[in-house]
Amino acid sequence: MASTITFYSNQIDINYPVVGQDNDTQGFRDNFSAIQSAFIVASAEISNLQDNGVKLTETNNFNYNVLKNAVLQNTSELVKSRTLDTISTTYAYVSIDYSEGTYHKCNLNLSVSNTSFYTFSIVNWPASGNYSRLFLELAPSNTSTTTVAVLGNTKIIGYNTASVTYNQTSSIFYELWTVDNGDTIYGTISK
Amino acid sequence: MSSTVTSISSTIDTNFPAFGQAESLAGGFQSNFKKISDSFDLLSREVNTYLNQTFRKDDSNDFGGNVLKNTVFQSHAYRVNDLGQVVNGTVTLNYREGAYHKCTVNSGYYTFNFVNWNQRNTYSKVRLQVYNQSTGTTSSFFIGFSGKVRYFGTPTTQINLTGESSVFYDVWTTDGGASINVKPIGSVSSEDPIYYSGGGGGGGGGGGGGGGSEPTITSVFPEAIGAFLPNFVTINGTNFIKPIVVKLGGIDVTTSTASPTQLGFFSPAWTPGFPASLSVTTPNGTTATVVYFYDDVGGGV
Repeated sequence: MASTITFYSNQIDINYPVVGQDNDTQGFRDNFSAIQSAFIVASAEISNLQDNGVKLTETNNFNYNVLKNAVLQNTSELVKSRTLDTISTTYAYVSIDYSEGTYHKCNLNLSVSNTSFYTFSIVNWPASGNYSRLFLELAPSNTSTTTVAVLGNTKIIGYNTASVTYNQTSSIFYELWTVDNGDTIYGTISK
Repeated sequence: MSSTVTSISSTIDTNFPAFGQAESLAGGFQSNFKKISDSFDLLSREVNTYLNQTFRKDDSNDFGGNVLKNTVFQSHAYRVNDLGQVVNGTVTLNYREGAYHKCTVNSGYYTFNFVNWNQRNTYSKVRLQVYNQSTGTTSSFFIGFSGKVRYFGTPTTQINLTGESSVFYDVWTTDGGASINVKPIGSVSSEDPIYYSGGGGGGGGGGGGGGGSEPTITSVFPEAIGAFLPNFVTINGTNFIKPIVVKLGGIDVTTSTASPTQLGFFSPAWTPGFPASLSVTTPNGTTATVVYFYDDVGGGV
């Protein structure tokens, strides 16, 4: 994309008015018109840069445009933290929004008298054809029995079960990824 | 870097022509027009630089290996390089094509050769998915990697997978690919139970999973359905784990609403007076059944 400012600014007659002759005032109007057009183009191009250029001073939404051949230094991923209240029934659905961050930490306030069942549903995965990876950290408040499942066609490496049960207070880490907008979700568990 | 446009534009004589000044001073106009034109030339060059070199939100961006630092990423993704079906032998994977590479294979020997890693002293990592689309049969793979390879965990030589399946690796380098590190992550198969969930679920497994909760039906409303009426039936209960199969009299019915504790469907045609079972089945194979009646006087309790 190239600037077109000079398309108009080159129309400015820098030899007008000519010395020693009767000059038609149209020459002034033409020059002023060319100057105005050049400013209009400059304004539009600068506005485009202001709208679409990346700002170093604020959050930038790339809408999944490609960033390639970059070396990353001192970068990190946004963490979304929440505390899940003790569930009154035997189980609860928890929606995890990928667009809110790629690392989600859930503090589980577990009932000391009942077992708990959490089903996590990951929503807003990026479009198919993108490798999207999300970390889910679960931090139980006590050692009560807690069963966890991830909704959908989810395949956890090493766990050929529909859900996994824990009795621990140390954090449990899920790494979940998809390349097809969540149609198939792969995962690993570290605990 | 700052703009130089004003280096010329500031010299425009804004007091010209002075009040009462002779028209013969045409050179003053020419000078100002020239400065205005030259200022636009400078402005155009500067805008061009930004248009061509600015990181844009509405387009692809090639950094040419430059550093992007002090950034927090939110909701980002990586390009997938899906090579589709690859043939036995050496398979070349180009780091520039994406950070996730997927290859579809059949039984055989495959050696993966990564090229175009980033330069030395950068950490470059890819995830590799080797996908076997065979179904029903067991396929044997022999997988290796070209170059100076350090394996984390047991080097995988032969892999036997049954059905549609995938095996995953993380591969990374810090020396431009002079040596690579390979960490097998594991495999999954279509033969594995689908990780559906909703309140119950199978136990067992490597994580010491516990037993899943079976579905229960606590009530059905109405308790009987009427003749020739499109009755909407609500099942209340627990552990309704998707996907759910609801059968009335042995016939599948389509649920129009579903939650872990409530299911809803429109009753199908039914023989008057005929009691039938109403069942709920979850992926665990567990079934809750109650006897449900047809009421030829109009339904309801």
